[in-house]
Amino acid sequence: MAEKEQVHYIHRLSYTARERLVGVFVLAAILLLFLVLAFNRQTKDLFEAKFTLHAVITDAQGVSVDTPVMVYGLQVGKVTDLSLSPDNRIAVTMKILERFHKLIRTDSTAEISKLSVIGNAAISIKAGSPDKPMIPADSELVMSTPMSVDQMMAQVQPVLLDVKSTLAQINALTHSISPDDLNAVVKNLASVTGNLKVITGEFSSPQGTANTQAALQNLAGTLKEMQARLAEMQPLIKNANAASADMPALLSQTRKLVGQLNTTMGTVNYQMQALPDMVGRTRQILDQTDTTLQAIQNTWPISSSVPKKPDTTLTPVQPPQ
Amino acid sequence: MMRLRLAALSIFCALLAACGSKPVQPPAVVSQAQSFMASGMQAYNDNRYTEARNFFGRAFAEYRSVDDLDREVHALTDLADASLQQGDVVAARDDIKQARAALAQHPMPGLPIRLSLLEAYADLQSQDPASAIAVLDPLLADTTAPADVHRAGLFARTQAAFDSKAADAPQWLAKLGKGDGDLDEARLERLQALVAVDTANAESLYASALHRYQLAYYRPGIAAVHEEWGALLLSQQKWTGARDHLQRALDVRLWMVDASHSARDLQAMQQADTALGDAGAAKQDGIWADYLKNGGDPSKSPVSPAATPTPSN
Repeated sequence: MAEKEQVHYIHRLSYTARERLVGVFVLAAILLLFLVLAFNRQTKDLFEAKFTLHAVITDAQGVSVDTPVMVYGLQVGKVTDLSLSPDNRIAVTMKILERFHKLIRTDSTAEISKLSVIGNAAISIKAGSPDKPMIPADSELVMSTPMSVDQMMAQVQPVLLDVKSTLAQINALTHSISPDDLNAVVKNLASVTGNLKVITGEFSSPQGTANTQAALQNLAGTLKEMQARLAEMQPLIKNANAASADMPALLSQTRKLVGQLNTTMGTVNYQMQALPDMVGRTRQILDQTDTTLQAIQNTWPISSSVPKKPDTTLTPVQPPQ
Repeated sequence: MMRLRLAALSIFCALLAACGSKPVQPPAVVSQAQSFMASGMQAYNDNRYTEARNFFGRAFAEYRSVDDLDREVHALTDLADASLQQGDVVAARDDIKQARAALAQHPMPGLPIRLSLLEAYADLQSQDPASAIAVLDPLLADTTAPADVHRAGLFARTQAAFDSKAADAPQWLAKLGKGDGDLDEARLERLQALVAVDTANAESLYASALHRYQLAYYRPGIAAVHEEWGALLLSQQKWTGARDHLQRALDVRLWMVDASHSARDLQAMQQADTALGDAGAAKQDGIWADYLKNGGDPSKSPVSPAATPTPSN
């Protein structure tokens, strides 16, 4: 009786029951696998209907297989293939989830994200007009590429050249007024004001009245001299006038240049905003790499050929120098 | 066949993975400080003392940030040692003072005697052998001193005896006995050269010491031999030979960014250049020596003319 009780329960089941039990286990395993596939973030789209789109670009800018494809900031698909087109450009094949098909119309265009310049490659499709028909599967999208850093720099270059030339013109303008002429005129004016001082002194003195006549004569002479100096200044003022005629054009050019610089700096600023995040992630990756390298270094036979870093905390005792 | 290979490969991979050990991940502050200490020690062992001081300083800051007094004292001791190797006596004394203050709060066996040895080295570098002797005599009388500290103390005491021109210098030299290892042997030969019967004998001892240091790539030793050899030749009025050794010593000292020894070498070179009738070179030597003595940067050395500043300032 005791021996009978010790027999495993499976032996007490009929053959059919055993078959059913095995079937339940197999089905449960299949169901589990299916659930894992269906609810896993990586594979949740595995069974969803998709359609293919193609595009041709001249500069991949970090786009690779699995690069996400976005519409309105939502990931709607990914790049599945990159190959060379017959005209030596890069043919990009994208798989897009069918449920987002209605967002992409025949007038939709695509572009590589600007962040691809600093490593965050993504393809962004502009949703088309609702009045246009949906884009057919396997058709080709028009795709534009953002400026590379080199191209941005090339764009800044002419702006800098313009700034340089403007500065040169301003420099020429300031040089058109001869410092010698100006100096002479100022000296003459100084002598004129000196004379005026003497005359007014004479006016205020007790003998002023008596000397008024003479002073008036002096004044007449001084005014004559002043007239002559003003005549000398005339051509200088003309020069300055001619030079200042260029000023409005120069100012407008400068304003335009500043505008261009602002636009360029705005683009650069936008790219720079993504940098801290990238640096943070790089740090994490480096930490992980460090851990992995440590593990590799601790693994035979590598561990035997990698010298251990000194773990002493005191320098060796040596005789005096 | 393919299956067999795959199975063999899987087993090999499994065995290889079994040979690995899970890396121990200490807290970030510990791993950071350990990394600084290890890098500092590597730099110290390669005589890159500026780098070593930088790393020891960073390790010290890490340890202080978590109030780890034990390791703080270690880092300060290392800092003092590296500073002395660069001839920076002021910085070394400051580090020793800080280490002593930490030890007063948190006594650690073995460290005070090590600090005393470093203090004696600082006194020797300051050309104050009397103070060095005052520190070294109790150190040598201490029976608990570790063997390596005792031996180094004995070397320092002998050097102090020679520096103070004491009559018992040869007796101290005799106490050192035979050398133990190349660096020890080389240091002994340098001291023996000071009591050599003639110049040829002294030069032979210096040549042997230099060879030993060169084999060990020990820069402070190489520079010290050239300096002592140069000083010997200067006293013999062999100006050309003296200048050659001093120039070689200077090259090494400048590489080590050692301002005080470099300034002394330049002063000795000035003497040789004057005797050789090269007034221009002698003047340059004097200018450079003053520049270094007044806190000038040894890395902007006369060895690289491109880096030449205006030392006349």
